[in-house]
Amino acid sequence: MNKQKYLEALKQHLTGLPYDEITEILSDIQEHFESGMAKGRTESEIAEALGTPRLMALGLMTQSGMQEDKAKTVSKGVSVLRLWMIFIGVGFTNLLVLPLFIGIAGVIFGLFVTILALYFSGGMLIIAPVLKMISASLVSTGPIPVMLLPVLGIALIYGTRRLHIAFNIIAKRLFSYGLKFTKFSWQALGGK
Amino acid sequence: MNIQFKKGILEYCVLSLLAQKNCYGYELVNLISEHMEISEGTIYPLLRRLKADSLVTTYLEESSDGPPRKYYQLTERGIEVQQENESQWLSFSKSVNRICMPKGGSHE
Repeated sequence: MNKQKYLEALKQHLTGLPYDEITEILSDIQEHFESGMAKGRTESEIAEALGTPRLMALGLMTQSGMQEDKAKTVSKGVSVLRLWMIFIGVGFTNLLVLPLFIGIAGVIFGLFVTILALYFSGGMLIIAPVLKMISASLVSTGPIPVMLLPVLGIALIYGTRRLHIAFNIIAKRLFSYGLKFTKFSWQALGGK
Repeated sequence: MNIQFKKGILEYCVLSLLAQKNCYGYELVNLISEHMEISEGTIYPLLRRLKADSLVTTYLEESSDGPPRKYYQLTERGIEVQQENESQWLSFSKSVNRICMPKGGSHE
């Protein structure tokens, strides 16, 4: 197929696209032919390497067709009424979920402080004998021998560590749910 | 090579070549087809899309051996997308190699 035939066939297959777009495409391909010929290739070699005019047109049409579709979804994808319904729906859900989140956040914070306190107690138990040596009145152990306290302290820290790990997992999960929900609300309200 | 795979990679290749220097259509086609087997016609739809998405702009320049040529140039957004693609491609290809090639990694 020579250059002339190729361009004519391509033009035929591009019917339906805007006139100026067709003109531009044809001039691009014409330029391609001329550059190739300047490099010493024959018209039919170039035409063959380009692929059939039908396939080329198909590629060009789907590219510009895809853009049209995209533009359509953006411009009339969401009606005003639907936007309002989403707004009210999400707003209502937020009204229910928000206090729940605040409650859960409170519990998490409480647990966090508890864990800190438990670690602190464990630490104090471990150093209790030292404290007692410094000043006997600092530590009153009741019936428990003072050298047993560090053992209790280590046990307490070990237990708290377990609690801490469980707490981390739960807190992380809740945090990611919260994040997802916030994202969802944001998107539903038209943000991107 | 798998056609869908090639299509996705082609965009990255074109952007990367344009990141090195501004090219005209035939030049781009040539630079790519030197290394991979492509239907040369697939570059032009791709270039039109890149232009429609404002990743490239075009300008005409006289040539010594023929009519003026349409040169393609990356926009600022095009440069950003190219860099994004590059880091994605690097980590992606690294992962694929790690999965597909056994330890030691070299295929003889």
